[in-house]
Amino acid sequence: MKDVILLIIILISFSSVAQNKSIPFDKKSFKEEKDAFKIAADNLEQGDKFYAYGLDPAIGFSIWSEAIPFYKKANDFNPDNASLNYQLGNCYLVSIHKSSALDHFIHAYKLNPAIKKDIHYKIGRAYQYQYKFDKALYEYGLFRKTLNSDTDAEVIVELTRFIEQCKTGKTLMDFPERIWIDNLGKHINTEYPDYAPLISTDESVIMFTSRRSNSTGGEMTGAMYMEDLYISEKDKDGNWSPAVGISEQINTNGHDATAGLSLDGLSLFVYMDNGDKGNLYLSNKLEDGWEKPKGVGKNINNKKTRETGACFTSDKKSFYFVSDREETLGGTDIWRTNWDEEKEEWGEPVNIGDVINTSYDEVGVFIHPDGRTMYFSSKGHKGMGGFDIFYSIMNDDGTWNEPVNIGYPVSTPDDDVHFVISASGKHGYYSSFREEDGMGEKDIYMITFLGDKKEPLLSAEDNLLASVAAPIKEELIQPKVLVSAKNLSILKGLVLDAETKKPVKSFIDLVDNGTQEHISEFNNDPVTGKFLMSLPAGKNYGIAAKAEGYLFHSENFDIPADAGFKEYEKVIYLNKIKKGVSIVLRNIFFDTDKYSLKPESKIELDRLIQLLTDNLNLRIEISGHTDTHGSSSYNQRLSEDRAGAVVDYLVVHGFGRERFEFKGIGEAKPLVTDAEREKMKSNKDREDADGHNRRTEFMIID
Amino acid sequence: MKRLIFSILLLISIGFSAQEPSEEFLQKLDSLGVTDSTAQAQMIYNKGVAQMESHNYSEAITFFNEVFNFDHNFALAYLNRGICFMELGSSDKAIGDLKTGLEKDPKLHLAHYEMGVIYEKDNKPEDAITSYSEAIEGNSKEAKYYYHRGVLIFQKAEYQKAKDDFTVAVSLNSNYAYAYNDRGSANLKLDDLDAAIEDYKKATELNPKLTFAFNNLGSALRKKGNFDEAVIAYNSAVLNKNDYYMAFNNRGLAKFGLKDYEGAIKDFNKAISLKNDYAFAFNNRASAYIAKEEWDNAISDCNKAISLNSDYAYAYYNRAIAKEMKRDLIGACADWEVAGNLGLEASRSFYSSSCK
Repeated sequence: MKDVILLIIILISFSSVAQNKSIPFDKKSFKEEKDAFKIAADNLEQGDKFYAYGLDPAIGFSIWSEAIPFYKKANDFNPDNASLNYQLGNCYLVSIHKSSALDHFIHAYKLNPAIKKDIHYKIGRAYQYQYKFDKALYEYGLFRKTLNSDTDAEVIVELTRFIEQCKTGKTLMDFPERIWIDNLGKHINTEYPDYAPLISTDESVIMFTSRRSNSTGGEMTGAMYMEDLYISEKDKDGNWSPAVGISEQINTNGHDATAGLSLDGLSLFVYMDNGDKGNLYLSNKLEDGWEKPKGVGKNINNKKTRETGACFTSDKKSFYFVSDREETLGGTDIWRTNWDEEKEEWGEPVNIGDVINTSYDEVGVFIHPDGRTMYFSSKGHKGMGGFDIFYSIMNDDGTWNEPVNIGYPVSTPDDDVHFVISASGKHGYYSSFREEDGMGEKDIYMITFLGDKKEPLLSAEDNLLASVAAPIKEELIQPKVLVSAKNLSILKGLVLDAETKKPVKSFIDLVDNGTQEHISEFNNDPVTGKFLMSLPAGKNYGIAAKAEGYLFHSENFDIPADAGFKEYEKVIYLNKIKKGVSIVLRNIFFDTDKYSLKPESKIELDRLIQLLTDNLNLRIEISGHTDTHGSSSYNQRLSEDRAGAVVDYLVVHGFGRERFEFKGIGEAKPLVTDAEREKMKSNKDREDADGHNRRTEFMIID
Repeated sequence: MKRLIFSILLLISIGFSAQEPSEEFLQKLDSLGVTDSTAQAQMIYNKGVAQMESHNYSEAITFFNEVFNFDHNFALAYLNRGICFMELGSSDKAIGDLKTGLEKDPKLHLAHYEMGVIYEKDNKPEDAITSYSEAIEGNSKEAKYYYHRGVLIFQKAEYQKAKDDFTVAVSLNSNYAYAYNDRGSANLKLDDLDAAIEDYKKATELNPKLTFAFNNLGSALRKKGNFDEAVIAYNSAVLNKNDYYMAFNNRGLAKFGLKDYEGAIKDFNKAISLKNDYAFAFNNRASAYIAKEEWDNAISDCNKAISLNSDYAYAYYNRAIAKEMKRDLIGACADWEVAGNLGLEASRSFYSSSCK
């Protein structure tokens, strides 16, 4: 029996030794394979060169990716060299194929447990990238035991951070977000890196950065082509068109990358590397396409700092951007700058504070069209590793709430950056490397947020009453529905010539009729005539479009407070200024049953004043119209008085009375007839019809 | 009074049988001063009662009619003829007789009770409640009067008032298993699950064959989240009655609560095998398939449930869940819209948030 035990011990120790022996890369070990050894040794040497470059702080570890193909060939020849496995593991750990690192580290450790002091740390990192957080924590624990609190203080800090990330990762994975992730397809993605997507508010246009082979100038850095911006539009069936370079005005031979897009899709921040550290530039869409990007100004850009992502606020009067400028709280931070009306430049940036910014990097800032939700990526907040994606909501006083991790599986142990979200909050766009459905390098994906899990509903029934045979139905689970849709409306519009139906380049003024505040003033797309903006719910808005040579057009509309997310579409037809043309003044308001003008009419009347000032020979007729409630004679008199009140206002503001005529039409020319009104299903529709009929019009008479 | 004593003596002596009274008994009647015609009426009345006992209601009526030839004030004969009419489905005649009986003897509380039964049968719950209340006024010690009124009040969803009646019933008759069961149900509706469980347990202790009480006990336990105990209670129900499809369905729900989806599906299968048009079981099985992420099976079961009941909002809602997970958003939205239109608020919310 003793002999048997001894034999077993010998066998175990023998197999253990055989398994753990590292085979050196020398001729002696491969006497029979001289030619193959030479090729492998050459590959090893090539790999070692890149590996050595990476140890130079000026170049950095990322160059190690370049060593992988050489090391891999060498490793195929001699898979049992501990050092090579360790170094190959390191290379994978900084590449897009991080999941491949683990096997090499584990094999290196088995071949030589003393391969490096940090081997447990490396194995832990590899486990962390594979979402195996418990194993990672175990390895980190082993590594921690090898450290000295005094001499390894910095390492301990870093290790502690990774340990926290693993704990956070476990928590996030316990409550995964319900999402679909879809590759945007071959019209967007290529075998080359495609990343940093920007999406128009209505998700009809996507812009992104790519390092594909048709990059402008065809120049390369390392194995990669220089960055360019690409654009694709969705067709009516929802398919993306093949992406093309955005514009010769924007793409250069150097690095040009997407940095941010305004809500209306007409102003584009571009990151350009013009020999300095990289700065922000702005390009606006003009009638003949995108203009050449201009630097955003000396207060933002300088040669010593790097400015990358940026995002306008919805009114374009401010923007947030990422910079490593002085006063950073560490690494890159998010800053805000406001447009200085007097100096006509972007003002001195302000760090948005330590609720958002940390001692680590923050990048990829994106402000949701609701104007209150900021999405960004951070290495400093509680994440599961690398950059995670966070959001924070702005308080009424402009301060930010504690950022919240957007959750697994959007956030991963790797870097998750360049995340943008649609106005509806239903879709997010980001770039990721996914082996299962990727096209090679990083690709752009659309995330569909499914919201909270929807529990099925079950039905029960019981014979609750002993003497009653019929069962009593009971519905079991009454679901609590917390719909987190944004209470936000998107106004999509089009300004066309009333006769030719062609797009008209125009200026649009949006007013909060309740506060008389000009919420936004902007130009539409001069080529397509389109405009787009986000509107908070619960307000009555006045909108007016103006264009040179045209009468302005105005209207008002309500967005209910509980509207949720909605898209409104509006087509505005502008009439050229000529005799006989009339328009409705939608934003002139009178007190009920009176002809006194309400204060909220001022903005509309000012537009009329501007029109009369710009066109001094214009003579106009003002006519008043009522709904059909009340007697005809009463309505006739009321409408005449109201038309007269408008003329009086204009006369008071300096125009000769001879330029005006006015008359009351009463209820004689309704826009919605009584017959049509009666057919309407709801009181709301009928009230709206009455509102349409109550109006003031003007007509050019000379 | 004499007539009442006579009736009681008669009933005792002949034990509701059709036997002729003995000479000795008749002599006893004479000693009480009962006239011949009265005795005759009683004799015929007795024959009517005997026919009633044998469920020969028409024949019984013939005897009761004859009773009135001898004594047109014979209240009990009106009462019993009324009951016979009720059994034969002539509610109006029955009510007429019971009212006449009450005119003849206003203390005949049993007539109020029987009127209550008729009104209940004729789906006139308010009239029935009034009659039971009048019966209680006549005799406040009769448990079944309270019980029956409680049942009707329960059906009006006035659970606290119903519970009060059941409480009186069990205080008057501590073996009244039905009343315990129904008070349990009132407690269930009042969300007093502990009290409900206690009552159902008492009902099953008093009558271990009270299958539905086991089922109800299971449902109360299930509502409380005691799924294991609920399964045990449902087991007792289906052991008592192996074709009790409702209990199989409910046991499936308890297993669903235990996340034993396979077990739940087996129970829903059994419920469906016992009642192949059981829309609830199809919908519930679909829910189990949803939990198992077997979307096609879930859709198939929802389709079946909807084909059996086109107004079944839950089935549309569940089908939408499965369709959404199959990425058929258009189909899911169509189903959420239908379920919302059928009044399911949750579905309306999803439709608004996901489909517009």
